[in-house]
Amino acid sequence: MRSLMTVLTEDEVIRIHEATLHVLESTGVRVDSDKAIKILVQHGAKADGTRVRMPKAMVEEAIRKVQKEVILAARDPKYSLTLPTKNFTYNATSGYSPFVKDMETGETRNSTAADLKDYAVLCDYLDLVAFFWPIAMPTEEKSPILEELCALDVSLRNTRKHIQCSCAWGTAAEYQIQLAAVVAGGEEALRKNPIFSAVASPNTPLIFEKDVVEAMIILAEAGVPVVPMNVPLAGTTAPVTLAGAITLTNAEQIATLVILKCANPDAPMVYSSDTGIADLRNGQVNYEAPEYPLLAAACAQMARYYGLPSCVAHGSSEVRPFESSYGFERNVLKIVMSQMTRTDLSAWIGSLDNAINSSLWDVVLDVEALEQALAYLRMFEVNDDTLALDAIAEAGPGGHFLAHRHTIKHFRKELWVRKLEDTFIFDAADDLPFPEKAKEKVREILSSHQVPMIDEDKQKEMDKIMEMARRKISK
Amino acid sequence: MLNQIKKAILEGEIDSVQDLVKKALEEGTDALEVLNKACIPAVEKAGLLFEAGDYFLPELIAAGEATKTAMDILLPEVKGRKEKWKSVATFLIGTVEGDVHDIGKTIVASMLSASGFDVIDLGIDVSTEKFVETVREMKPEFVGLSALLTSTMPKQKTVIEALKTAGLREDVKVFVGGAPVTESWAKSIGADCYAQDAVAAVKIAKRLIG
Repeated sequence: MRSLMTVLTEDEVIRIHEATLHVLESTGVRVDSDKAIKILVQHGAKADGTRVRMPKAMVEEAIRKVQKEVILAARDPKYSLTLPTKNFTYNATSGYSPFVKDMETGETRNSTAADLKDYAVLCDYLDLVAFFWPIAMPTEEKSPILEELCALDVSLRNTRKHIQCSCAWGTAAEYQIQLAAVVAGGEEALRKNPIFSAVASPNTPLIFEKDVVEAMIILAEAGVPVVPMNVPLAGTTAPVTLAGAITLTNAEQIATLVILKCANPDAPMVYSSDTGIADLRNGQVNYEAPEYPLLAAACAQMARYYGLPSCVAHGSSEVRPFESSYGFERNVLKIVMSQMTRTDLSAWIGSLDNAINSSLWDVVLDVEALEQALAYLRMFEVNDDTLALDAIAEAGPGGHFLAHRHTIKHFRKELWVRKLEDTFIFDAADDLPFPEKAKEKVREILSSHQVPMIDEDKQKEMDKIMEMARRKISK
Repeated sequence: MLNQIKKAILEGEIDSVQDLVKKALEEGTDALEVLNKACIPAVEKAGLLFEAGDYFLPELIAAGEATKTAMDILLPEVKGRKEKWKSVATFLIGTVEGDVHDIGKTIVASMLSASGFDVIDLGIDVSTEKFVETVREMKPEFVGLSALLTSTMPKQKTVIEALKTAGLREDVKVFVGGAPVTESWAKSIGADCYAQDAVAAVKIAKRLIG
């Protein structure tokens, strides 16, 4: 017994699958890389310039190669995750924003490696952050490739959890694999226990840019899970109808699967999308739109249909700050709805301003809201004992269950005995605004929590790789 | 007939706009009259409906595209005449080099077009040289630089610097936009204007030309 939100009937799932096959076979995708086109054609795709059409048989073959399990390993094995999840969604920080809100001034400024380190340490400490997206980019690096590389370097050193970084260039992929291999103990060890996965995404609608698709191939060959988080927006870059937007999302996901499986039949993938809607009054992304959780639920269903783990749902609202317990509870319910899609992964914690900004204290506030949300997301057993036939018989008509041994046996597990007020942000002893309380907690954690270091030898090797990359890469 | 054209523009019916405008000219209606009494009032009406919240972007843009279809037929007819048609201003726009994101820039371009601007859309991944060349050649009043990626945002600055070097900076007002772009970024790179969205871009541009 658990809460689960679905929006598509079984027939509708199949119709979207069939529509996807049609899109890939008739419209196809644009692939801007000769290397990728060559691999695809070898496996049965039809190329006309950069337009690549994927016949049904080829797509079905890729779907047949989907593994039953995907491992997101971690530097410390106790944090390794096996997908699909059995119980709850695994949550991570939001990611790759170029700005942070400064802890001292509250002003938005460019983020740096030092900020990323603080986030990594904080999230290493917070239990409910199950894996880590480098939430703020080291923007002091000289090129976007170095930013992606440095983001992994800093994260690996400062959290023991799985890292899901961004990767939009083949060169970045190569260096990221080298770095992670040092920590994992070689490239074969990394293949077996990928301690990082990479978000490398198609450009909606239906475009695979050269650098991105070449990164996908390199990652696939190394056995690093690829997370092709696309961002179709209904009404601008995707059809305005939700069914159309889901079909386009699915077509891009499955096209990615085909590319990865052509590069390596054992390549792991996480079905991942941030499908949403455009605000048709101004053309901007509207993260607060009610369609978001509906689209996420549908995407999660499509992922389950293929047996792929998913990372499709948002978490909390970005409307900040919470001035009241009402605002906080609203956020709790948004998280509940989002995780009722049963997405395996969700990356949202600490996100601000449509995911281009973040703050340390919003991480703490989001985790606190998630903690409350879990009350709604629990699983309940239905068995002879929980059906309580004996208790019902003994209490009989008009009796009560208050002091029944069945009640005493079960209530602590079955009922949410924590109060909503049992959170530091509702501490009645002071009337500090929530963000200030969260900041205090951040300072406390950062000054006391020690993340175990990577072996010194390995750190030196990582230094060497970073030095070489900084020397060679100028783009 | 003029009312029919106006209605077709407001409904974004490109095909019937084309037919109706041709028919009007065949029947002897003056091209300038079609412009002044159908096209311009239609565009203005669409703008008002949009501002009132009755029209959404798709409707506004469709009306803009329908107007453009009509203008393509009408403008050659009025060319060389004494009483000339003049657009509000010329707006050069494009997504900077290394960035292939299209939709935000396209929305701004369509909105400007629908608001009577003569828009030159250079597309995506536009080199700095191309921006400078086109400014020199077409002499637009405005230049809009779009960037979606934080890694391509610095190119907005590069273009502004290049315009300075070419001695063209004073001739144009430079707009910057894109999801990660902020007011303070715009100031720090020496842009004239920052627009948060397409609606703001049109408002600011209109205010600047008075």
